[in-house]
Amino acid sequence: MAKVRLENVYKIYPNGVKAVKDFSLNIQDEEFVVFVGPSGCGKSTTLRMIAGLEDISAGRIYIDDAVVNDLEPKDRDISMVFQNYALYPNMTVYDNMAYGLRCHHVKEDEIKETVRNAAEILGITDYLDRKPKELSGGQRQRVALGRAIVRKPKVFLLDEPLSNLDAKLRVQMRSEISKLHERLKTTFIYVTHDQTEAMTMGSQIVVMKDGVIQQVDTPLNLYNHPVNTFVATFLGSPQMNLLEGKLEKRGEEWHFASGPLDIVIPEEMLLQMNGYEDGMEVYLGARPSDISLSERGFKTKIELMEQLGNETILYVYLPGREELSIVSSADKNLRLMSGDEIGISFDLQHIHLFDKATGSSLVQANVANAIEVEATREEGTIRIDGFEVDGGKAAHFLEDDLRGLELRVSSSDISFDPLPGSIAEKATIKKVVPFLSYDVVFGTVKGKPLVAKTAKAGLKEGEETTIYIPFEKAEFHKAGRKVYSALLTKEDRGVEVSIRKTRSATILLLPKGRKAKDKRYLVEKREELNDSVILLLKGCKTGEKLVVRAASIDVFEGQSVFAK
Amino acid sequence: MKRSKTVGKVLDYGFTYGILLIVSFLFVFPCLWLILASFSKSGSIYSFNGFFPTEYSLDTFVKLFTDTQMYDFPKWFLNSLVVGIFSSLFGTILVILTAYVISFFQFKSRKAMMKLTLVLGMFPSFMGMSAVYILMTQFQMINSIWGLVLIYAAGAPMGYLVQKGFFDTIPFSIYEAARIDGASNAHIFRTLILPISKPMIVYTALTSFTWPWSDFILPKLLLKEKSNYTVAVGLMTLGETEFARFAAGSIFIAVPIVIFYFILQKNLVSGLTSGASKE
Repeated sequence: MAKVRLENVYKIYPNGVKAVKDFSLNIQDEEFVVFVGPSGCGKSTTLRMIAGLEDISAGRIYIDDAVVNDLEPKDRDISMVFQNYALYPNMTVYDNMAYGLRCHHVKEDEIKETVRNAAEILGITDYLDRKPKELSGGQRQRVALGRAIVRKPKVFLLDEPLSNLDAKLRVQMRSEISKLHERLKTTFIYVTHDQTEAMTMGSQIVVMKDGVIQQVDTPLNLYNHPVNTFVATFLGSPQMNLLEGKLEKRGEEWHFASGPLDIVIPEEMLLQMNGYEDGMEVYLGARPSDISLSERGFKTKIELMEQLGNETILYVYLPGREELSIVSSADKNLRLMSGDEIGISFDLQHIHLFDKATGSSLVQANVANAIEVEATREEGTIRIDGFEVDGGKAAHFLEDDLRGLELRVSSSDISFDPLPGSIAEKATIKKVVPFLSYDVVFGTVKGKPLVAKTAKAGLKEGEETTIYIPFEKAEFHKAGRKVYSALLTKEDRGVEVSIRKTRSATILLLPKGRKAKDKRYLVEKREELNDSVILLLKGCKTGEKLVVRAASIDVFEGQSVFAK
Repeated sequence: MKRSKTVGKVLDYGFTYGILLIVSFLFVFPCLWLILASFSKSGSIYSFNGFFPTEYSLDTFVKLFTDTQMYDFPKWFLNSLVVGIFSSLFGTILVILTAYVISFFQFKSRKAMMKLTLVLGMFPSFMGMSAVYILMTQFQMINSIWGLVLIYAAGAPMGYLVQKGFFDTIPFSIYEAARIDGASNAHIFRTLILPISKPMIVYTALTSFTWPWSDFILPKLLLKEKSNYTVAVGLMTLGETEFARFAAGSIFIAVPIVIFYFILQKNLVSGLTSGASKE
């Protein structure tokens, strides 16, 4: 039972390949988190870093608020279930499960009780005297689970445990693992490439691609509000249809147009959209189940039909997509055949629009909101929209002239309840969209769009309210560049260094006249400021703090560098 | 048509079996002849009637063990046994450890060491003869069978590839699972790796025994006193008149090897980690 936190974790291999990039995640106690993504996306690597089987290149991993980067796997109090079971072949099932306990010098009678309990929970009591080679795949997997349970760890790590089982067994084991989670009340971290497993088992899903987190949310939120085309097409079976087309403004209405297909975008959706313009090339996303058959709908022909019993899958050609698009119908009385002409219509409550260039959805629930603020200087302090910035922090504003200052804050950092140390702004609520476990508020602040996440209930559309932005979470920009830095001040701009990279280390070369007290430094903080990267370094021997600046430094928090 | 087919068949079989017969004869005859020669009553090879001995008796075998004044066969046999057993013991330990480390662990000089071993292994062993002699003189281990044991045992890890191949088949996830369970490296080796590797250990022990047992060059180089000789060297000192004894001695040293192989054959062939991991 423990919280797990990953902060800016990177995995970089000696040949330079970045398998995991800037992975940050907060896992609550007793959660069932699933890492899902295609092969090679870095999910197993991340799991192994949490386990301690892989070195962490940069960043920190916390288990229960203690940094575990340098701890051996056995000291992290975790258990792992492997894809290929990894049972000890020369030992019986009993000995397999007792191995870990014996390594920790637990008394034999205690071991006996613990093992028997676990065996009972998993239904393998009859096999305790058998060796792994005498068991079937499902039984072996249960033994692997048993071996993980007996150590009563803080966190369970499961690396694609069901991949090697046949389909029926997989469904059975899925529910068994879910039940096990409920029974043990321990944090589970589960890795899979199967989106069905992810959707049915997890309370929090982390969708990954190419080492980068795409979206983290509950299964239903990911399904209903995918943040880009990858997440949209990865989850949900059959796959979401993506149709290419253009956004067209006609009078007050916005349309999606693709050849003969023309759809009016509902106003509710427009309220949530951001960053769109007339003539923009977009993808319209519609799930097969959100397309229905209608007499007056868009006319097309059934190319292929699949009867599954409970639903029928129809394959049709739609404008904006070269391959066949999929329509699914749960209508049991469907009397159609391949070749028939049908009319289809889209469920406008459930369509998605994605920017063709970036793949991002035009409806984003987590954005960097930009709010114009007024900053005034008064004898050593700065006031921003009435909020007083204390002297220490005020020094971190890099420019004297703060006219045209813009505050940027992400949706998840805005609060609707008063918080100390935060800037208050008046906002108007235009639309509240319920997600699972939180709501997303679309509104305006000073006439500009605002998107905020909140768990607060009772917010009404059309209302005026106040939002609170914690100073710590805000970024300050002016004319497109950052003017507030956490590490630099107006006086101290850090030391400019040049970089020399060898095969195994990064060396920072200090300018003439500047000597470093230490040889090796640990990167405590990293900040990207406009065109440079700023690092706060701490000397490994003397603890000397050094702030350095360079055009680009490929080094991250938790790594160490040499300085000359 | 039938006729030519039969003729063809006859020719085919005849040719095949003809070759097989000739080759088998070439292999078997020398052994057979040696066995017969060892039963010859007269020691000299010149008293043979053509290829075969004129008279047969078991005298030679008796003389082999009793007439020890000039040719101390029992002592040589004992020496060979000692060298063989201890070389096998130390050599096996070293090879298994080397192969395990190279297979399971990643360390900086790993690739370099593997390449170096490969290249060095291509040079025939007797190229280092003079160097070995000088080294042994420095260690003052000339004329000692323990010098032989040292060389054989130390040289054994050069042939680690077979064992490494075996360890490569053990899934690394077993090691990882044991690390997570809290086992130290030594514990894992003792409780997991060694039990699984029994067939490979037996194979290694056997092969590291047979090489020192029958090697001639190194003992001839390093051993000076007759009482320290191994069988290989000792037998070569027999004169022309003692050919029967030579044959008897040669036959006799094959016996332990054959016995060992028969006893341990079961272990060699037994199944391995079938089913413990899905691979």
